[in-house]
Amino acid sequence: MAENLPPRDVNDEPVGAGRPPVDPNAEFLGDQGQQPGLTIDAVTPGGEDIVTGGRPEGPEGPDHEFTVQARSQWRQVLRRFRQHKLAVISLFVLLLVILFAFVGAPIWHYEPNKFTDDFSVPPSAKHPFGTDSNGADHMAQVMAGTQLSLKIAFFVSIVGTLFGSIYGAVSGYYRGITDTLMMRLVDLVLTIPALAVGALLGKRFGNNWLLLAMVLAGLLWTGSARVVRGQVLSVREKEYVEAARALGASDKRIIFRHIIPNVAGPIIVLFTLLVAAAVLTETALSYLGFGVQFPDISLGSLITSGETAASGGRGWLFYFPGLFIILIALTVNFIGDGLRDALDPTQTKARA
Amino acid sequence: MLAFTIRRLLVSIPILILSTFLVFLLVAWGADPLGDFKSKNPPPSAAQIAAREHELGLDQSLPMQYWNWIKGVLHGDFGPSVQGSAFNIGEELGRRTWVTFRLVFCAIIIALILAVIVGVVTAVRQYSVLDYAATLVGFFFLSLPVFWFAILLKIWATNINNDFGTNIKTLGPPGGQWGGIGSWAGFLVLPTITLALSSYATWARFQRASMLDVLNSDYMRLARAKGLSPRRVMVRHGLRTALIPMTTQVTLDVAAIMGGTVITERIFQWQGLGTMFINGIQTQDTNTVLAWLLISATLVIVLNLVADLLYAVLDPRIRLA
Repeated sequence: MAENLPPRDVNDEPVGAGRPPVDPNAEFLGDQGQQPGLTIDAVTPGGEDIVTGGRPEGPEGPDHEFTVQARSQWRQVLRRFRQHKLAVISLFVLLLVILFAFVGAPIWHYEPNKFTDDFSVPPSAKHPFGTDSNGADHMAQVMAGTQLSLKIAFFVSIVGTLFGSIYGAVSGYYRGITDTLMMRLVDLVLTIPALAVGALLGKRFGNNWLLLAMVLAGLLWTGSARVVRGQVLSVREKEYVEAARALGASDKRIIFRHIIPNVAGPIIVLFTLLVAAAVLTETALSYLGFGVQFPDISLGSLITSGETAASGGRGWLFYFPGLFIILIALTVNFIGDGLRDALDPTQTKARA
Repeated sequence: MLAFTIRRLLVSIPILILSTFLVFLLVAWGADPLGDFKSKNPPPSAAQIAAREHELGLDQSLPMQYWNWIKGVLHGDFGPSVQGSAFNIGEELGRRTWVTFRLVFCAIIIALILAVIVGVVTAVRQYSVLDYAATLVGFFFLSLPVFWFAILLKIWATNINNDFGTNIKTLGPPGGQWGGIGSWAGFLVLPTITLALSSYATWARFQRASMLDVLNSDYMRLARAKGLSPRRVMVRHGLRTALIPMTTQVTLDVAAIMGGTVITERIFQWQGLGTMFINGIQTQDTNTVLAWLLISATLVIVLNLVADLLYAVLDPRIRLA
């Protein structure tokens, strides 16, 4: 039960004890760091930034105290994350997959598009994942495919979450007509199946993975925009935002320094979930032939060639790429679940 | 209620119009209907290209093209196709809609029934072994690449057919000959499972969360306190309320399901709308692609409208707003 206590209770003590004299010229942010409302959220990267941000330089006393405090909250998140065993295992497995793709590929002595004399060999010590009918080593192909699929997925979720979060924050912060118009645009994007538009644009831009990733990000950002808007609608009513406004902070400053850091929890979770969505969408498009195109290799395009191979008894060409897609999507989903529990102390597991 | 309906309708219409505009821009930007024609060997002369452009109305300005297209659509004419003059988009749509509708309908029903049962049971037995198992399975389905799983189903079905002499169809009917209702089942099984799976996973989680919300509410405690039977409390007070949010969730996911039909129909070689869409992209047939996107966007907007109205009927709190 102890982990369910809001961090605020932990922090009340130091706030009362070692409170430094308020410097009238100091940036208001520095002082904000002491408010209970904000210290909860100093869990977030942005929060940490705020705490160290406006503080006068000085090695001793209050400054030191705050750094420790922020770290202790990170520790708490870490502790809660570690309790989610599946998430921890998933993180470990995902790291292995990343190592396999990015470190394995340069080390492995076969190349994905280079033919050997072993045609259609089942998995063996020499070719752990077997070879295809041209004699290309399948493990090298899977490494290359995993690499590209991961690269696209991370690009999509970084760009998508970033854009969606800022969009949602602006929309929720200004409310009124701005909000209505911006959210109608989101509704508009949601009326069109992402996969269909992805296929249409992927057919044209698929030969360049960066453009393909941009297209996918352009389709998958709406989820974060909606969630962040909802969060911002409630955060903007908090006292510390009111205080910042009373102190004359600009809208830009309030959004980027006060609101976004405080909704960082959901944003991080959305980021991880978007990685899974992006991997699944990209591989589906590549499978259909509207995504990554030869000579680039994606896990999806490997399955296109593996499909016929599987019915011909060469199942390894079909199972391995599929297995890696599942590994990535599943681990990322579990990590997202663990982060959700860890970052939001008020949310019970029941609502996860 | 009437005012709410009218207001909601009035909001839907501009969204539908904007949606057609967005779809048109996307297609104009993303597809080149003359791509095949231009890459012919020997290359066509500039005059031939210009003539073809004129034929398809591509020599006009973009707003003019949009206007001509939308005018045609309102008259039931989806425009010429580059897949030959025999390919009438309107007729194709009419023939294929039924094929796709059957698939979507079955998938939604099956996913919904399973999701509600699993969602309610796991909420009532929260943190039981069953709950954890169902959550794990749900996560697994959420992470499953649909196209890969569909191919796997085909492989399994072939093996089962070989071993037990059953007749599970792994491909759609040749020439669109569906036969009687009895033979539908064989065709429908695998595509329906494929399409239902990912929706099921999302909906079961959603239903569980919504049921948990209800279970922890005061009126449930009151219903129990006044001595209603546990069954009555669960069904009349619990389930009925917990189903309301599902209406919104299901209609919101229709866009994703329409996207899913593209993959499913392609793998099982059904001659439905999804296959038509893929062929449309492959041949860069802008009017076919436009027609598909228009239908799916309209469907989503109409269903969202229906969901909002249903919500107002089902949830008395909305009526006050």
